[in-house]
Amino acid sequence: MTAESEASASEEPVAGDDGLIRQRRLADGSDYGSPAELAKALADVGYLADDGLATAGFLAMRLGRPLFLEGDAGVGKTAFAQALADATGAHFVRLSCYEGIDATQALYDWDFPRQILHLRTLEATGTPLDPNVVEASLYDRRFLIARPLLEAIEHDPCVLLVDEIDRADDEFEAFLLEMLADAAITIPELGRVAATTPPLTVLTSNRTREVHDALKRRCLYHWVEHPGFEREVQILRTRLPALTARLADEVAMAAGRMRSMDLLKPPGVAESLDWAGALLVLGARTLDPDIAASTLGTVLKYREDADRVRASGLAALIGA
Amino acid sequence: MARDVTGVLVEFARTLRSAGVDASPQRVASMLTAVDALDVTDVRDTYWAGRMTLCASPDDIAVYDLGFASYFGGHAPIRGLPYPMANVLPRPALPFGAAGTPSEGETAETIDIAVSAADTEVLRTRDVATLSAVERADVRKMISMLAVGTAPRSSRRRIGAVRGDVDPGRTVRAMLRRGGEPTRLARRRRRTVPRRLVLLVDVSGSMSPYADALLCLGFAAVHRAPSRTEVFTIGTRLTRVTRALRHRDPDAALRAAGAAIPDWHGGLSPSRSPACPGWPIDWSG
Repeated sequence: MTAESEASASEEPVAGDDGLIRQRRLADGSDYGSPAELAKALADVGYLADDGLATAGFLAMRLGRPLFLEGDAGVGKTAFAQALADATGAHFVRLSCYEGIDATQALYDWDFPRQILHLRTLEATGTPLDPNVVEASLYDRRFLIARPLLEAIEHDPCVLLVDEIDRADDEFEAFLLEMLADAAITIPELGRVAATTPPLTVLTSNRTREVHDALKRRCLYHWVEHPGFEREVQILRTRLPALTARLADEVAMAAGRMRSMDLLKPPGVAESLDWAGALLVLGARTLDPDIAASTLGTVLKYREDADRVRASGLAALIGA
Repeated sequence: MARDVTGVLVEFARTLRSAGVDASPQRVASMLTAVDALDVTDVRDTYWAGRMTLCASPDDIAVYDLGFASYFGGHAPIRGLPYPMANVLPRPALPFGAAGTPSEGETAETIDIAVSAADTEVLRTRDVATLSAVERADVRKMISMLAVGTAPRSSRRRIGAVRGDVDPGRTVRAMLRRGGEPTRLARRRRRTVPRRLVLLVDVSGSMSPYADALLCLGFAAVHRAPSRTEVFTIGTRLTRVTRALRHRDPDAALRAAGAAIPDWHGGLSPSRSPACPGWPIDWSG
């Protein structure tokens, strides 16, 4: 759970002054007349989306369908969801999946120690109370710990990121499907909590396992590619304004070549950003074989890959 | 949306379906909605709307690009995949054509054997019987390195866990120890246990080219889980070779198994075997 989401986790969602406007914006994308407009809004918050990704985001908003993003690690799937939230001014909720995640981790949980404390407090005050009233007071909203999915339903508008769904188990997938279908959660003690507008959901997967077809059918599918040379240069220069044009060109060129080398883990944009950042810190003006060799660890995360790149010659990799 | 546009798009989806993309009616309906939300006269918009709704994996995208280019007359795909895709997913070789997924819970007595083969494996489409001696030795080595495992099943017993159902017994006992104060809820979940594996290897004469490879598989299985695997051979009789296959050296293990099998490459059909009388049922007469 992210820091900003924890702050308001235990309170009722309060619509801001512009709550209504935001809601409409997300509900039918009326603020964005075309994918190009969305791409522009994303660029304003520092995310350069290509044609496909902008269309995907636009369609997800327009049709109210979850967006299923697949692609190599580090191509910006997670950052896209964050940028969508920033651009639309929506509340951002992130659910990171892992093996064995279950409903109590994803939906809600009762705060058992606080419930007990509440009972003790009632006992200590010594006032005779109706048992039914006491019991009812135990299942109050304030004793409910909202986990990401409940939080996403309670906030409006909201961008929900379900990160790395391929790591979760099949059962969790089925459960998620159910929740996405009606954008509502039934809590036996409290009743049904439904979203006024379904959260804009982005699911990401690294393809370590095939996600069930039923879930994919409900979603818009998009394969996120590594950016082309020009776009990567643009991304590098947007994210790292101190980077010179020449260094950005060289880093993007070298990263592109590494991707065509059939490595175990081809570098994504995240890695080339790390690399460019490292070069900046070292005060490099241009990429030469020596400095490339000493910073190779920021861009290649496997020893086998680094060996392979070194064997094929660093000079050839960064040569114009 | 005009009727003729719908017709064109539905026909396009049918073309893709015949090319192997799973363009189900539900997906086609999604495509029409998506195109409707975009600009149908813009070929890029149509391309993306179709791709996002009809495709479900990177394999589909390659087919889709080709289909789009050929169907919409000469428009080259807007963007192919510039880099070779990292297809991380292992392709499981499902045993015995069991393509369906077990739907009714894990307790059903189905056995899932997770076997995966690398795509680069050259020998995978070749019959073991047609291999040369050298290739057969290679295959034998590879088979004996396989990690033959069985899928776990959930047991009826439960064990303590951090997450899961509340364990009333342990919770109450802990409360009693602390003078009735419920400080922590104890939780439990179902234990998972590995399934047992029994291999029946046909070593009769007609199976002689395969028997060797199958015994290698038996060797791999026995070494993976020695206490939960049993290997029997059937020729004219049933022989337990588990003990012989427990040798650590594959060659020694196979020699020992060969010595233990009295009906190795025997000529009788299994139906006359005293171990399984009346099997398989003879339909010829």
